[in-house]
Order: sequence, then structure tokens, then C-alpha cells
Amino acid sequence: MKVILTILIIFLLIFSFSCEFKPSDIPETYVEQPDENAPVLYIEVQPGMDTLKLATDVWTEFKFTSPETEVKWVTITFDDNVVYDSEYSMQNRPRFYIALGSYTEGLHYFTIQAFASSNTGSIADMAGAEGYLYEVQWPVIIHQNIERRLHVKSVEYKKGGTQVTWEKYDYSDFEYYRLIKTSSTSANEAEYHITNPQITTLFDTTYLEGEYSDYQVSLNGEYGHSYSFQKPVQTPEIILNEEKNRMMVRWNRTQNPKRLGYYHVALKVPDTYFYQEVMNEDAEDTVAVYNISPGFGDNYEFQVRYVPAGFDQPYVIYNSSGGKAIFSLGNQMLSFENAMKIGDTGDILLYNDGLFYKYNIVSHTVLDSFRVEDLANPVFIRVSPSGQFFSYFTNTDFVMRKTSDWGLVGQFTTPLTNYGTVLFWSVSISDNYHLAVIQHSNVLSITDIRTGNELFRKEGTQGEYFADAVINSDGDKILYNTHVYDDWKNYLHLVDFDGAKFTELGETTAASPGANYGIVQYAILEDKVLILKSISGYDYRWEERSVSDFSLINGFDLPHSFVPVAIDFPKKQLITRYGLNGGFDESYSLFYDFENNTSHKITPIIKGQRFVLSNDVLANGSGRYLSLSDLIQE
Amino acid sequence: MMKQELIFIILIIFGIQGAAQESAQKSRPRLKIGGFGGYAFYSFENLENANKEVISQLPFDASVIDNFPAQTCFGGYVLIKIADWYSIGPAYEFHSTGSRLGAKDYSGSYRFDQTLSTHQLGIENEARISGGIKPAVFINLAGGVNFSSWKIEEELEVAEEVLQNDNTEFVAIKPFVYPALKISYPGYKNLSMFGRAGYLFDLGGKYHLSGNKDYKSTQKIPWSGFRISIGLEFCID
Repeated sequence: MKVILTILIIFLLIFSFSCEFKPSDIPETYVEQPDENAPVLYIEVQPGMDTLKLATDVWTEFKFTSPETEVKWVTITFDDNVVYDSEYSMQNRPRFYIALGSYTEGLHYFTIQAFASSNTGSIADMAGAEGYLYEVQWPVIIHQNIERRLHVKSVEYKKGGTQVTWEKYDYSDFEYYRLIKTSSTSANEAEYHITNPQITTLFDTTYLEGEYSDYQVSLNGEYGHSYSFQKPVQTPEIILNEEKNRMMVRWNRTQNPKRLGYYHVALKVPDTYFYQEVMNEDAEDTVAVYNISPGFGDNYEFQVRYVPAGFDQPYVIYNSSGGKAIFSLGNQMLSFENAMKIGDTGDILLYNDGLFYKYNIVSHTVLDSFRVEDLANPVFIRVSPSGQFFSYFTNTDFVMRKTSDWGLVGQFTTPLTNYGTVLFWSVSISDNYHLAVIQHSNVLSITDIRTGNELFRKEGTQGEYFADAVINSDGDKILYNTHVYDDWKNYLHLVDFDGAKFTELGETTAASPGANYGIVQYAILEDKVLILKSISGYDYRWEERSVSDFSLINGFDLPHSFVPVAIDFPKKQLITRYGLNGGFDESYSLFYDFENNTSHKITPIIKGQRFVLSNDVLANGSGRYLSLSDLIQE
Repeated sequence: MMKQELIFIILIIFGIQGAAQESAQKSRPRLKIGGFGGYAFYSFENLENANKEVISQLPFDASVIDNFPAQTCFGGYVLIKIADWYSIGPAYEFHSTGSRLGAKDYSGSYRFDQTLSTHQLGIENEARISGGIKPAVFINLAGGVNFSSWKIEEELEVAEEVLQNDNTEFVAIKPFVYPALKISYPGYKNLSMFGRAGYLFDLGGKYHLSGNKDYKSTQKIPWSGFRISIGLEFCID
């Protein structure tokens, strides 16, 4: 019985364990294995740059597309930090914010890993355990504190426009450049919109020669630094015909004819206040003719302007660069602020911009020069009658030097000059070191230049005012001019001066005050006193008087309205110009030689410059000269 | 679980053996010792649905390989004849079935197995209803408990590397009643053959995680179903 039960128990236990449910084998399904060559995967990044250049914080975004596979998982590291590690879907693309302040300046890297399905449909594929792993690096360059106000680097004029080059800004936040050209005329402004950060050069076809323009590059609407540019119009050529009655202006054709409205040529005749203008609308017509006989003296100023199309304002307000030319008769020499003969030699003393020159007007050579400091009021430079000395005022002193070697003869501080303000009407020096001055205080004073001591002093009276005085070479004769209010006349007095008192030798009347008062001139030669005086408005008279008793020896009335321009007293030569209109419309001036009693019509002389006549040469302060033979017309 | 079952079975068997020896000392007991094998039919609709759910969630195609098929079962009993027409005693049966869903290709394989097993232990009452005719006809009524286990195994293998392997086992004690009709035909000496058919009613009982009774499954997995079996019975007079 026991045996049977035992067998039964063992039997049950064996069955119990051996008969447990055993599942069937799983049949294998055929699936094609994946290709060894990975399918193409496109990784799009935002901002879309091969190398991400950052100057500001930015959101980056990553998009993966492929026509053959599907990205399952993406891992992105920035430098060594994992910034994204997750499943990928088009609806939930990886994004990462780069805050510049958290990173160092320079080069960094994104490492992008994408795991893509093999697309076989196998178990491993579908479980995400089979596929292709892609890895790519995306360089990131971080620059802190980048200037966003861009500079235009260069503007270069080329045929038909300007080539503008500016600083590149190829950082991630770039949206656009806007190149703006502002112009001296609003009719010719331009604006260009550039959306490629690599394009930093643009050819502006609107630029017209002579235009004052400002170029500026705006980055994303933020204004940049302005760059001023102008291409001056080339200097035109001025041609005078043989008859000297026509001036032709010839200039270069514009290289941008499409933008040209018209050429404008303006001529400003000296001593006038208006322009004579010519306008040519034809870009090929580059010549303007003026039927004008030019005079001698100041410059004729020309300006050729290329006025842009659309400019509808008065031409005079169009500010154009270049295109200017001047024309003047005569030959080139040193320009000067003041000049005078040195005695009876062929040399003249020139002063210009702090320098004295000894200039030979016959050979037209500079013999010597000398720099002076603090010279004030060049108009009061004087040369002694013999030409041995010359004098000038500084801000505080009176100075006298030799013309031969510039040696100092005398210098003293005088209250007559005070930093440009003079307290006298006239000054004259002799060759014996005397200085004759008519002071504002109605005093005629004689001073010893070597010592600075006043030798003589004569005060005017109520109703009689000193106006002018000259002293002869020896310093013993003085010709002075007074104005007497009682009869409303100017009187010229010739006196002897013995070092202590005046002895009257004679007198004569001049014009009433105000009638070309300033140009009345006189000179005391050895035996004669030469006087050019105004006898009424625009009427002048030449007189030669005795130096002993001031009696009249010879006299000549100049034609009405011809005013003196330059006098060579030693040679008794006078050049006058027609001065009634103050403009320039007369056809001739007059030359007088009182020594030989001859006169000639000469080339018109233009008002407005200082002239010096010496050795049959007329020079003007603009730096031109003509010989009398060239001036004389008939 | 298995250890508890064995101890329980051994105690019952040796208890019966002790009772038999005690009877033998007084008057020799009459025993019927039987063993049988058969076929059991199960219906685990919940688990079938669970399989479908798993399939729907897999990223790759998988199919059901086994789906809780009817399985062979076996058992035995020791009945004490209380009267000529009535016997009672312990009975034991073992049942096991399960399911597999899976997929396999060059890249790897996936399987999701559910295995259900139970040691069915109870007290069987047997009453003869056929009088003295042959074959003898009995009505049996068993009642007891199923010591059940529910194993779930999931494994994903890719390129010969197991990427995922989850094993979970739930256990439950589930009471039952099992009415059946038995026909026995005498054979050689005290040995007879019998055939039996019945229907097991699962009366409930929840699965919980093995070793953690607090973690209970909400699934109802009844062992209810038809049973048919044939066996040999040895009578000791």
C-alpha cells in the first residue's frame, strides 16, 4: 500500500513539472537587410550659416529631412555639453538658445548626431536599434561687443558711377544692408537694399561728377557712419581767341550721361556780383563761349557743374565740387598784399603772408626774401623815397629796415598800433630816419626812427583837421593835407621842416572831403612836388608844383570818370581806369606819360586789386603782370 | 508557491495513509486509488485581449503563435469507500496552458509569453448511481482550491543581444467546484478503467504579485471549462 502511494506521488510530481505549457517556436519572417550605404540626410540649421557667427544671443534650430529615411533620435552637444538628447519629430524640432554672455570669445562647436531608421521594417529597425548614425560638426564663432554701426570703407569713382565698399557684418542676426546715398541735391539720392551679408561692394550708378554725396550703410535699419565723397569735376580749359574778345570754356564730357540734366557754366566777372551762365542739355556739347574782352586785374572765375536730371531748383543753389577755373590776363608772378617801388631801381618790394620779397620787375626774378613776425596792416608798409629803407607796424611796434640786406634800422614800441588797430591816418618815412604820422587825435608828429623820440608835434585846430602827410627823402620838406570845415575844402600845405618847426612854403586846395578822398596821392621829388588830386567826384587832376614855393608848373585834368590805378612818380606815369559804374563794361583804360606828354588807350583795368607800376610794367596783387607795351591798345 | 503546494499534497496523502493504517489496525479499509489523464478546455478572453493590446502597441508586426489552447491534464485521487455506493477522498489535478505572441527576423526576435498553471487540490465525493450493473456509473463532485500561477515573460533580442527581458509572476488561490459524470468498467482483478467528463466552475480569487500580496491584478482569469479524462483505478478491499 505504501509503495503504491509513493509511486503515485512521484508520478504526479513528475507530470506536474514536465507537463507545464511550452509555447511554440516563432517562425522567422523574411525581411530585406539594410543597404550598407546610408541614405542622404539633410540637416537644416537656423540660422542658416555654414559657420554660425554670433554677435548677439540667438535661438538655434535643427531640422532633419531625408527622402529615404526618418530620423528617430537626435543628440546635440555644444562644446562638451549635451544640450539636446531626445526623440526627433518634425513637430518638435531641437532648439537651443545661445546666450553670448555664457561663452568665451572665439571658436566653438555644435556636434550634431542623428540616428535614422534603416527603414527595413525589421524588429531592430522598428525598435530603434538598427539604423544609420550621422554626425556633423557646426562651427560657431562668438564675437563679443561687435560694432553694429557700420563704416563705409571706401568710395571709388569709376566710369559711370561709384563703387562703394563697406564693412562686412555676417553675423547671425544679419537681416539686410541698406546703402543710402544722400546728395547735395535731393534729386539724385539713392537707396539699395542688400540681403546677402557677403555682398559688401555695390556700384552706384546715380553718382554724377561734382556731386557732394554722403554714403551710409544701415544694418537692419540701424544707421551707420557717414562717408562723404565727391569726385570734383575736372578743371575746364579756358581759351582766349586771338582778337581777345571771346573766351571759350571747354570741359570733359560726363561719364554718366544718363544722370545728367544739363551742364551749367557760370562766369563771374571780376568786380561784379552776378554770374553769366550757359546751360547745355546735350551731354556731348562740352563747350561754352563768352563774347567778352577780358580786362587786366582780378581773376575771371568759371565753374562748370554737372547738374543731375530732376534737379528743379535754381541752379545757383546746386553745390558742386570742382570744375572751377580762373582766367586772367598777364603773366604769372608772385602775388602780393602790398607792393611798391624801391627808389628808382628796377626792383619792387613785395609783401605777402609774412614774407617780404625783393623782386626785379624787369627780369621777373625774386632777388631775396625775408620773414617778419607779427606784421600788422600791410597797407601801412612804406618805402622811403630813395628806396633805401622800408617800414611796417607790428602789433605793438614800429619797425624800419634796410631794403638792401633787411637790416634793422630802428624799432620802438608805439601807441599808434595796438594789435591790428591803428590810431593814425597816414604814415610816411624819409631817408634821414624821420617818421611823419597823422594821428587820429588830429596831430601831425615827426619822430626820430632810430631813437623813437618825437621831434615835432603839430596839433590841429577846431575846424581844421590833419588828413594826410608825406615827407621827402631828406626829411626837410613835408606835404600835408588838412580839411577845413569852414569852407568845406581840403588844403595841401608844403612846409619846410628844420627839425623844430614848420615854415609854410605854399598851399593849394584839393577836392572836398569824400570825393575819392583816399586815392589822392602826392610825391615830393628833388625839384618838384607831384600831385594827383581829386577835384570833384570822379574828376582828377595831375599837377607839378615847385618844391621851393609850391607854385604851379604844370597841370592836367584827367577825363571825367577815369580814376587813378597806379602811379610811377619818378617816371611820371599814370594808369587810370573807367570807374563810374564800378563794373566792367568799358572797353579801355588810359595810360599817361607826363614826362613825354603822351597817353594811350590800354587794356581795361579791373577794379579790386592793388597795382604797382614800375619800369613800364604793371603788376597786380593776384600775381599777374603785363608790360605797358602789351597793355597799350593804340 | 510550488513548495507550499507540495507540502499540502504530502500532508493530505500521508494523512490519508495514516488514516488507512489506523483503519487497517481496526478493520481493513477499502480504498480506490486512481490516476487519469485528459483534456481540458479553457477560456481566457481577458488575456487574449491583453495580447491584442500588446500587439497593437508594438512598433513592428507580431502575431499570436499560441492562444491558450486546450491542453492535456492529469491527476489522481485516493478515495475511501465509506459505503458500497459512496467514496470520498482527496484528489489532485494539474493544468497548464498559455499564449505566445512574437516576431522574428534576421535582426532579432520578440516574444511575449503568458503561462498559466494550476495545481488543483480538493476533496472528491463519488456516488454510484448505477446499482450492480456494469459498467458502473458515478456522479462525482469535487470541491477545493486551485493553486494558480500566471507567468508573463517578455523578451526583445536584437543582434543576439537581449535589449529587454521582463519576467513577472502572479499567484492566486482560487476555489472551485467540479461536478462530473464517471463511467467505470472492471478490468483485470481489482483494476478498472474509467472515463470522466465534467465542468469546472471557478469561484473567484484574485492574482497578486508573487511575494507581494499588496500588488493585485485586476484581471479575472477563471479556470472554468470542460474537462474530459480517462484513467485507471485500483481498488483495495
